[in-house]
Amino acid sequence: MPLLGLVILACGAAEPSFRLEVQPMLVRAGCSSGPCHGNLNGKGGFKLSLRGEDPSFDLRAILRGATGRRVSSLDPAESLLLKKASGAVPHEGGVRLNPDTFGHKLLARWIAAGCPDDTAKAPAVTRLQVSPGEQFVRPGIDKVLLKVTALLADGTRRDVGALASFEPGTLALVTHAAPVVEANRRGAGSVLVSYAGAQAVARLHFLDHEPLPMAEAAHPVDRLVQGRLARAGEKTAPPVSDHVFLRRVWFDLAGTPPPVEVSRAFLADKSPDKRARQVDALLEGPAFAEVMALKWADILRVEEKTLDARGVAAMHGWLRRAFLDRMPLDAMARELISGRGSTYAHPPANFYRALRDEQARAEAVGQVFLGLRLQCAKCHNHPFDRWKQDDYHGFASLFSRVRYQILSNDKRDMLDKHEFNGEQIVYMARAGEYKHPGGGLVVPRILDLAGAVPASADPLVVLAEWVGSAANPYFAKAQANRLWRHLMGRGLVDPEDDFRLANPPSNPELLEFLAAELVRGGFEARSVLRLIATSQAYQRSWTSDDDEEDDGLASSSRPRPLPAEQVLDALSQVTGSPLQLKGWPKGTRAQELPGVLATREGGRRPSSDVDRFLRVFGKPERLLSCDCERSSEPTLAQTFQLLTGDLLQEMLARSDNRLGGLVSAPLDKAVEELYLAALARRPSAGEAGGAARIVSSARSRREGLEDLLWGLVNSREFLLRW
Amino acid sequence: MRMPWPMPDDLTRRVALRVGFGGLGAALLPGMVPASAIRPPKVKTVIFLHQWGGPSHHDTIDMKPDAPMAIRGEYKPVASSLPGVPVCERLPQLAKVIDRFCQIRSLNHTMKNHNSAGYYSLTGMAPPSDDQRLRDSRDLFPAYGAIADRFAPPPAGVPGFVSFPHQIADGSITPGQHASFLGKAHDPLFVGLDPAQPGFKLPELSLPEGVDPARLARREEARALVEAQLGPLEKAPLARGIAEQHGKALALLGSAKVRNAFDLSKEPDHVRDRYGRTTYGQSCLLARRLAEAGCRWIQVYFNRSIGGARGGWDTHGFRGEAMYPILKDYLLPITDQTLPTLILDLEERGLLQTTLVVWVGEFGRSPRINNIAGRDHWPQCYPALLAGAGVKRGHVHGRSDKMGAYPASDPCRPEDLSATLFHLLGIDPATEIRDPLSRPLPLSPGKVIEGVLA
Repeated sequence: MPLLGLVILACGAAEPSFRLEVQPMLVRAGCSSGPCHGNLNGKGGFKLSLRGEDPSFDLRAILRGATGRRVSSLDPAESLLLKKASGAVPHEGGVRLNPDTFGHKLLARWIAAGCPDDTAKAPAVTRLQVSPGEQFVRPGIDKVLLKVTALLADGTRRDVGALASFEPGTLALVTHAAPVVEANRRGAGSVLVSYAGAQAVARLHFLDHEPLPMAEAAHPVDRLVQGRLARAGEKTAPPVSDHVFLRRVWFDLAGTPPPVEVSRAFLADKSPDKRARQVDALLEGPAFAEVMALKWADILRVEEKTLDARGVAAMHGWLRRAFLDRMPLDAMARELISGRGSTYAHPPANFYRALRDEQARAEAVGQVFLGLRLQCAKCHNHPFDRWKQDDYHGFASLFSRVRYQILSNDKRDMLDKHEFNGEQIVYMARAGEYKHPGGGLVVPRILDLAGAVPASADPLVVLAEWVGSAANPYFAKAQANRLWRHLMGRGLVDPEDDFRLANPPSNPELLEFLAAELVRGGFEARSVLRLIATSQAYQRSWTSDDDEEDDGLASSSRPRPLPAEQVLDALSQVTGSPLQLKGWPKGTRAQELPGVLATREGGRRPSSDVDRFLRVFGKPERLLSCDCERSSEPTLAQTFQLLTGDLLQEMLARSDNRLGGLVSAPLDKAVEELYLAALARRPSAGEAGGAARIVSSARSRREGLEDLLWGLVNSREFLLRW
Repeated sequence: MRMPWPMPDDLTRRVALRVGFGGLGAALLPGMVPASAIRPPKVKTVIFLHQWGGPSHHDTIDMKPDAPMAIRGEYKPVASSLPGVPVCERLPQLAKVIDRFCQIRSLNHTMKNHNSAGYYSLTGMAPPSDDQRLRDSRDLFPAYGAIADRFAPPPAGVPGFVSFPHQIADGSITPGQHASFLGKAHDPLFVGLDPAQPGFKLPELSLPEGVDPARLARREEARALVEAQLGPLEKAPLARGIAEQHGKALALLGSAKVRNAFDLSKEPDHVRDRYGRTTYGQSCLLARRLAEAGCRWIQVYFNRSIGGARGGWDTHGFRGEAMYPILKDYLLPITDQTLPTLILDLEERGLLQTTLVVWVGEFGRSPRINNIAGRDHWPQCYPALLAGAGVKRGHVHGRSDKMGAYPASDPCRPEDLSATLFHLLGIDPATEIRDPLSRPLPLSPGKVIEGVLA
């Protein structure tokens, strides 16, 4: 590979710079990585800062450690640093820099020059550029040459391809050559490039089809989706049939399968806009608020142990009312972030009742409202993003004045400091103290924004205003992303609360558009959901062409499991057996439960069959601020609940359930109703015949119908949201 | 390039990009081990007997007869089948078979509370804080058995990770008993029923009331009718996964092997009596049967609660319940009956060559007897007993000091024990998995205890 013209680093000429050459080389060779010397305790008595975040520290460690044997200016080849790296002496980390490599020679030159220290005078890197920033690589080409340029504070530009670190793809050996990305599979991926504290990302799409001409699209969402799909050479799957659409949209916007009458009417309806009208009807229905309240209760940690049953009811009730009354998302965010007062009388205060220290509060606000996972920056500069540790602690210090006046705490377990049972008042102290773990000064700041939050201001009111304001580049995108994910199953940024440089949106233009639409519509969730649900992208079926990873371009839909509450409510609705939840009014659905427990008898641990069922199917404990507690893998325990479980059997066998009414009906009508109830469709001719035969072969009509219904609800067509 | 595990739920794999630099081969990357270093597994089954509450070594296997009375306690050591290695006089049966065991006397850590230490002892990961009520959330580390199920999966038709008969708790449920972020698929097959009760059986493996095999067959026919209409959706990985689980469940339901393993009525009475007709005794017997069936990790919890007259090993002397009566009447007799019986039973059946039995608690007990006639928590130095495949027979690794207070030699931590167990199962302890924050974590950050390896 010929060297590129902009290379300023000429071999053997200028004195190597520690900050701009040597230290980046150590990072690139993996020396300061987490499993190696960048570890909390270092390795082998040699500790470097993680990924080179502290050049002065690293220099001192190299010069002073190991009684000065690490570097030997008089005889650089004897330096322990080089001997270990080249494997000349035993090194648990293996061979990192062979003696004939550029990196080894660079280090040797630096040592020979007397280990000059330019940490103070070397110019900082103001920006890192990687080119191409994004490229769609045609099939047949599997290598892309990257050019990495650093812009320095003194105005110069340097080609740093030979010094930067690349991820994914860690290196052991480096050569003085330009970096080439090679894909061993077709698909999209990002390379995070780091150099001297700056980062940039290259997005490369190794296509397996030639780009296609863009298909016409009237709907704005479809136009943007099609744009990307065309460039990626992906064909779209056809739209789903009516009954699949109906079932899908009912689960997504109401949390239940469509009732039999609704299915009958929809299937018979010949009007061309029936799907859009169905979306509208569902968005206006009360169940929609339940669906959204459940989602938000998950990420706001609305659970009984810390909030107690009354607080849980208050908080969940507030969320449900917010969605019924069309409270805009920014208003919701403001209320929660500035929440205070009695946790019983002023429900948003429960946000802080659940989050009892500054770090938990800061991380929750980051994750829930801004889509940022700041956690990694608590102990060191974020390895995959631009957040510095100082940003984290400055942000966390905003939450240091939150206090609790515990009016009563009638808890069961005296030793459990997480349990609270009684009213609390959340209030703000006049001043708060926040200590940086490293001992440094903490400037209360909103992330990396310039300008400290003045001490005289109420920091949470200031933060709440900023979260909902136009100046905030994160909130609208994060919320629009959540809404997209709710319907499409995967955020444009995935995971949905992990916006970072190395995790770009699968369709940046679409995300911008949805965020703008959300803002334009006054942050009202329904408007964006309607937009998405009426697009072709939402109505696609599944094709087995790309059964590999989901690249997020929405060329087809992906089946996903129903959430635990929806499985149970669907079983209940289809069998016509209302759940019997202790302590709740008759007919309460799992989706309506405000907390994590299905029994409202003051117990702190799930105990009933229903609790067990919900837990097995993934109902979260709500101990984390993400939606990640729900898992999407099928498990043996779930299968057994359906195969041999008592709960389902009881629902099937109950004498006054749906089957009770169908026992005396004509068999074909009964079969049709069961199919419509469970699958939103009529049986095919073959199925009708087979079903009739199966039912008739049973000891009684009742038993036969039970067995048929069992078969329907154990089928994948029932269990999947697809 | 190493692929991180586990993958985020919604994505099966990301595209692997390899950044190449002009032709020189890649040397070892962090965490990668050359294939030859991972030996074939010495151990096919681990039976992990978790001694909840924390047993005292002064009153069991690491006695200090020359220490002052307030430390050495009431019991005297007696000679055992291993010369120079005496055992408590109240454990005569164990003394006879102590030569099968490899003892570790120098385990130590700094977690003083049951739940924090419990989590540590069940996962080999130190908890973020010594929290009395550490909350069991999905960002905590997976249980040993889940890791074994994932990285050393069992043969088909047999569950990899089984745990019974309690879910341990001290106030709140102790973390570390399930697969956490490794994925629900690796959760244990947990049986929360009492094997000493008549009619003990696995509820999942029994058909519900009113459903006989003929009805199940009819039900399956009905299901097949609908599944036949699934169309292209059948090829989706999730759909395949559900079908796979359904098949596995039916196989387990129809398989004699697992059902029989759980059917203790098939065991002759005299064998059941030898183990003792207690919950724990019959649990040990169940563990042997599951070892025969080929399970990979069998976790038996000694008791649901930490202490009390008929609880775990936590004998502080609280509530007027002095330690020695409980040791005499309950803790030592039940140990003396179950542990030797299990070892001899496994040995007779040739299972000890492929099975490893581990007996350990979350910490030990204080050298000094307190002023309410009990011993308190003592993580600074406590023992473990290992016996079976892969470990030395009749060996003592590590010594405690004169008072039995601190390790005098070869100190080791729970993560060293876990590294050793993984190593014996053929799993490289340095294998990386990713927690929900995408932090790379090794299966065990400890070092294999070479001194116990056979």
